[in-house]
Amino acid sequence: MSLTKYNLRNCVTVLLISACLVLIGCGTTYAPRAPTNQIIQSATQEIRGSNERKKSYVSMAEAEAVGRRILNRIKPSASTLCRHLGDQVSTRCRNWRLAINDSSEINAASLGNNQIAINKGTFEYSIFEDEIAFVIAHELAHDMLNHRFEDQTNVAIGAIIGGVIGGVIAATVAEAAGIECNPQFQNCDFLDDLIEDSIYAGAEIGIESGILFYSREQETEADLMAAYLLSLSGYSLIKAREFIVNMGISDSTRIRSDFNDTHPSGVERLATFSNIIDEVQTNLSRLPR
Amino acid sequence: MRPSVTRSTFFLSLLILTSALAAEEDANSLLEKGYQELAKGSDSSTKNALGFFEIAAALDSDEAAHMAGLTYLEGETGAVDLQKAFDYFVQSAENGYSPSQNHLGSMYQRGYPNPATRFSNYRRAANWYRLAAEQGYGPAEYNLGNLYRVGRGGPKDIEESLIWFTRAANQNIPEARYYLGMAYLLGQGVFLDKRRAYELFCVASSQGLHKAREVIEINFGSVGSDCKYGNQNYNDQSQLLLVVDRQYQKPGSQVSKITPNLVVQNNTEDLIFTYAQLTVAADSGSLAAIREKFKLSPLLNDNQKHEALLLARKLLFSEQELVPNEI
Repeated sequence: MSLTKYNLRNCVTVLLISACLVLIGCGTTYAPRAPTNQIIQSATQEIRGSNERKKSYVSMAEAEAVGRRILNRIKPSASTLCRHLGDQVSTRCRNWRLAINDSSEINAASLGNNQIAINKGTFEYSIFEDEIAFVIAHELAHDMLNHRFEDQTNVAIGAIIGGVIGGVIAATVAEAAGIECNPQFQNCDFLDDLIEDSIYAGAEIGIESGILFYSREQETEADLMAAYLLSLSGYSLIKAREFIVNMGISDSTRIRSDFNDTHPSGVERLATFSNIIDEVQTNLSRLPR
Repeated sequence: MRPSVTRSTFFLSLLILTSALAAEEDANSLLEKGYQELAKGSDSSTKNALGFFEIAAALDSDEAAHMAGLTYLEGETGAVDLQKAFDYFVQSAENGYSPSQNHLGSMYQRGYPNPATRFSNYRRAANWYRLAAEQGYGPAEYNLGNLYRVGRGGPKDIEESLIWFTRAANQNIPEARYYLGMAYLLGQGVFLDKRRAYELFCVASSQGLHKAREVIEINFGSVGSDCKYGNQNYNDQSQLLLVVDRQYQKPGSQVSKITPNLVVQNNTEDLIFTYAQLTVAADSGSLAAIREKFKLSPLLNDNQKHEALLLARKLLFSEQELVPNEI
């Protein structure tokens, strides 16, 4: 396909309008109050003053038994929460299952097919069951709130916007540099190639920003919903918070998230969780509004 | 034939009884010798004591078996031998000796006989504690209450934990007084009563329990010499009548009694402390605490609420230690 700056400009308007329309449709998220600087400073001190935990061996059978117990305790609350959220946002309420990976790293994921995977390492570095319950509830919240689907949408939006911006920049730079090309009299392939390359480069950046930018919001939203789930299931939020403190130790040099981060920084997450606990514990309906 | 059989049976029984009595006397004298050796305090005398205890244990002395188990548990004669300690505790616990039952429970709670994993067998621990507690053994009463308090080895049951803590406190177990005090301080399972909490902490502190003194210093400022409440510098108006709201676990049950008119203090520190107490109570599922927090929430800003959360964390974790009492 051959593009020049003239027919490109006609496409720009159409693409931008459609991208904006899609963006408007995907904006609903539940967000807690942002932490103040004082809370962030306090969270920084708390993390820096905490000791790194040592690993305690846990067998696969023990991890599976504990994981199963937690999921069974969370499931009824998850169904209630999912039906409640379904009035406002797109949700998927189903029979979640848990898989334990025999890996010593602390990690967990929502696999998108009603399955949540959690590494054995998460059990080995946790002190309270409430912490493991928090990790499972967090991943369950991602699945419940269709975050995976939103990711894909965001990628597409990012690609469109990035591509358009890349193309416009290339065309503008070419124009400013006085590069003109009339396809009726000249071979304009060099200019077409420049603009086309810029569109692809812009799309790639857009894909990344589409994932990255929204993921931090989704992570915070998943933390909020996980807190509601734990509270409804009778788990302790104060003990669950210890998991975030522990995770923050390895990340304690960064206070605020960078643009490229997929998760909030440890300090920021801990500070936000302080507000999340307060929101959950002062909510008479016990369900997010 | 018949009279001679009866006579021989009688003599045989007499012989067995006499030997049993002799064995018991032997066991008791051996046990006594063991204690005498132990009192000398040297390494060689401790080894001698262990020898006496082991022989007496072989003659079915429960107390001697317990003492032999303790010696191996504490490694007084060299390296700690958990397996031998475990075996001796089992021997006397199965005969109903309550201190051994308590120690056996404690070993299960600490993860033995599977120390490679830190997953303790709380159910077995609870069973052994119960056997000892039902005989009125104070440390086991405390340990059983502690398991109920955190929901290990069975469902979490604050009321049941308070029953066992009360029995243990009556037998002068300071840790039981401490947790009873925490229940009164936080209004968990009982009406919030700072006066009662203070008195319990104070007695526990006078028994040498350091953490009880710390709680007094945080919450009441100072420890009085006579443990009589009255001169402490906290605002009595902050009393809330909260009980653990179990409505969530038991649908249809009575909702807790809540203070009809919460008195709001002018003192921000008191307000933050009250908010912290409510945070702990709400964290354990009390709907009453959530309602009270909702009322207080507009009076505090986010920074003050965060401060209350950190205080709640401190209160909760000072309350949560789960260390078996092996007295």
